[in-house]
Amino acid sequence: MGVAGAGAIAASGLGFDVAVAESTKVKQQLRIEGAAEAHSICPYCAVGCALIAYVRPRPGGAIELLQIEGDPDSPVNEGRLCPKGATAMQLAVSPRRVESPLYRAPGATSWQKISWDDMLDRIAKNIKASRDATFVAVDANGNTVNRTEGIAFAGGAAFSSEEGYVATKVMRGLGLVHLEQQARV
Amino acid sequence: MAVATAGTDVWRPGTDVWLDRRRRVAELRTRYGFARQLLDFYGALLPVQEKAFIDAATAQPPAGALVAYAAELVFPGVVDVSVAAGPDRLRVEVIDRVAAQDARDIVAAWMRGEDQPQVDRFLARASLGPALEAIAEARAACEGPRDAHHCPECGGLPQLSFFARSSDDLASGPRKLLCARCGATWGYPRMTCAACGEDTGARLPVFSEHGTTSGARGSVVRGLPAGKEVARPDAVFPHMRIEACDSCRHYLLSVDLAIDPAAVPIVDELAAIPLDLYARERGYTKITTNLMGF
Repeated sequence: MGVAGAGAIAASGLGFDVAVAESTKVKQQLRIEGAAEAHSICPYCAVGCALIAYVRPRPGGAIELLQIEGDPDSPVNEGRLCPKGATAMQLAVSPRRVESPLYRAPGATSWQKISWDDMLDRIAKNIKASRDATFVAVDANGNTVNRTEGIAFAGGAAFSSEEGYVATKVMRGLGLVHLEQQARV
Repeated sequence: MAVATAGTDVWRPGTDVWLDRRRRVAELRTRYGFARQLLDFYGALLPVQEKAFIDAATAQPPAGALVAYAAELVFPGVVDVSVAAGPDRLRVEVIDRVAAQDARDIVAAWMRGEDQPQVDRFLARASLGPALEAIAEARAACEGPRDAHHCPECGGLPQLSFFARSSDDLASGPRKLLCARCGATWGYPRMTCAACGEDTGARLPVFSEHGTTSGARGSVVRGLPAGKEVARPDAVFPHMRIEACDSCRHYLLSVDLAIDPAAVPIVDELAAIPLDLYARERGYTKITTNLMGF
């Protein structure tokens, strides 16, 4: 068998020329796309379930996130995820995400879009008003306590350590006592 | 709820692997017209292999006599079916090889993992495979390294990768490799090249048809339908993908049994010729060719 013969055999298996010809046509019609897998960890609670993220590079350097699922190799979750973790994809990509602050005035029945600056100003004013109204400098026994009893703070479950640190510092600085974390609920 | 532990073989073929294979050949020859030539031949070969499997399990030839056993009792049947039902080139080459070489030499050379003409490899593998599947001592006697990249039973190379069925509908199953020589399976981590062990995600491209990942189908949760109607192209291989490695330039095909529980990896891999052609076109080489030379 010559070199050319060997090449032809390699191209068609053991001589399945018809199957190769037909498969070539099918191959040309397939929309095959490349993706890569990446390890990640569920951001929500302290269990730390392992995730596999399927990503695809897009022209221009952007990375498209295709899917997130539990990693079956992880001894922590063995591929399983809780309902929240299973929808981790929506944390990153959701067509229903609200992308600008909305405000509903007292008594109003609908939301209106406001700017980020307006929202921050409004929150700052409300915090100042609530703090001024409910600040306790000295308790009933005469102890200096300097606490804000009229505000509580709840952190989000997807907080990073840094976000949690900043939130705690800012809130304690305002005199808040009631700090809670959604991941603990 | 049963909790799968490391090492537990979650995927179990039907009680009769040969029945499973015949059923799948019948299903796929209808679904995959492009592979009918190959599947019909494989379907004709299966009864010969099944008989060899049952005979070997009953006779239990000692490992030292396995080459002679396969060469004398199975090889002629494989030759007959190749000549009767094989494609033209195989037919011609089988007749040539049988006239030129002793069956024992062909089978023995394959057992030793030597470089062989493709037709020799086919004849030896088709003859000896069922006996290796049937007899554990014979697998243990095979030469070959017993490391993570080779079959722990016989030291053979992985033919394909599959994601086993999971005990949980929403979780994908563990990854397994299936041995090209004896059909045994072993667990292997995802995102790791089965040929060289590369585990940098960016160097391990996965090629699959558009719309075949849950995210692309519009569903954020594996196993659940999409929340809204999205364009859902009819994929030819919704349960298969090419797992390639840019470090060693090898690839193998992977079958996801969570997506198609009726799939029989060994048969589906044979039928997925378009994916092989695609991978080859991109410059990747399969870790080891399958029974039919792809």
